[in-house]
Amino acid sequence: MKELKLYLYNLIPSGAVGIIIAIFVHTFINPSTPIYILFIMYFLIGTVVGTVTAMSFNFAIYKTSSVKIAFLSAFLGIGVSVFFINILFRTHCTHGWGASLIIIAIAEIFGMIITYSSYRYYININNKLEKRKKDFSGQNR
Amino acid sequence: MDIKLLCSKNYQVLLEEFLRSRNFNISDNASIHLIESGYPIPEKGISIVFHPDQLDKLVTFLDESIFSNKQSFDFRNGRIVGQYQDSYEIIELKDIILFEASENYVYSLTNDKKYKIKEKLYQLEEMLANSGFIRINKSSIVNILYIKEIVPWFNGRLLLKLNNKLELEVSRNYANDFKKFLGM
Repeated sequence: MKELKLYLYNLIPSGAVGIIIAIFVHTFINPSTPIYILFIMYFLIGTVVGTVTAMSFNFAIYKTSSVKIAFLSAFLGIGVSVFFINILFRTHCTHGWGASLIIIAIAEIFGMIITYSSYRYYININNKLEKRKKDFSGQNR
Repeated sequence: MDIKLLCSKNYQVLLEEFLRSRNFNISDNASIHLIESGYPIPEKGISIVFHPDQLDKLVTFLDESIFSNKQSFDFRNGRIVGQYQDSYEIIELKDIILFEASENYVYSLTNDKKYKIKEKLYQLEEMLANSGFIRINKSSIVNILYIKEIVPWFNGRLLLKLNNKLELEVSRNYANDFKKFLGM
């Protein structure tokens, strides 16, 4: 249960990105759909995209220790997942490819901001580790 | 030496294990008593009364005051005694990569050997807190000098990549303490 709570807590930022996209869709693309439906729909989409992004970033860091590859993985993870969600919802048919691209761009911008915060956390925790290692390296030798 | 325990069953098991690991016999006829607060204090003999909430302090007190001569542990000098096959060897703390509990035993891992250690994991955790060792999950204490990289993992967990290519997970329960230890 605690695992689930923590997982849901971690999904809030990516769900919030979904809400921003929902506002964009309601304002510029599809004002006829009730806003609460768009909120729920895009919040859930945001959480899925957020999960994919986090998994891509963490797994790339784990496998390669390369920040560039990790950012590229997150970028592709966001782009590909949002593209397929647009295809699933037939956004390109009802509102054109332009709308699909704008949705992907918004998701990329906010998704990469979340990814950047993950990156800062990764850098910060490893810097702290190095500092602590220095503290103890003198003591243990 | 004999010692008598007067406490609830939960603590009885724990304390028996702790005392036996220090070569004490649990006996009803002993003149030294370890008594949980609330239990009647015998009229004769020596009695040490403890409150269950401060069991950790009791363990520290016993270790530092009474059993200090019985330990195989000389952490102030950065050494510990470990059993390797049929012989005992002194291991420098700086050579130990991690301590791990497995099948009722605690082992210390160095680059080339795996030693059996007399101390329990919770004792090592307490004694080595200021020596660069940190508990990362239910069964491991790691020397931070051997951590090469920390990778944020899923659901608030952390993955540690060690210098010897071993990978260990900091469980969610220990992740906060681990971060505090790093100064986050």
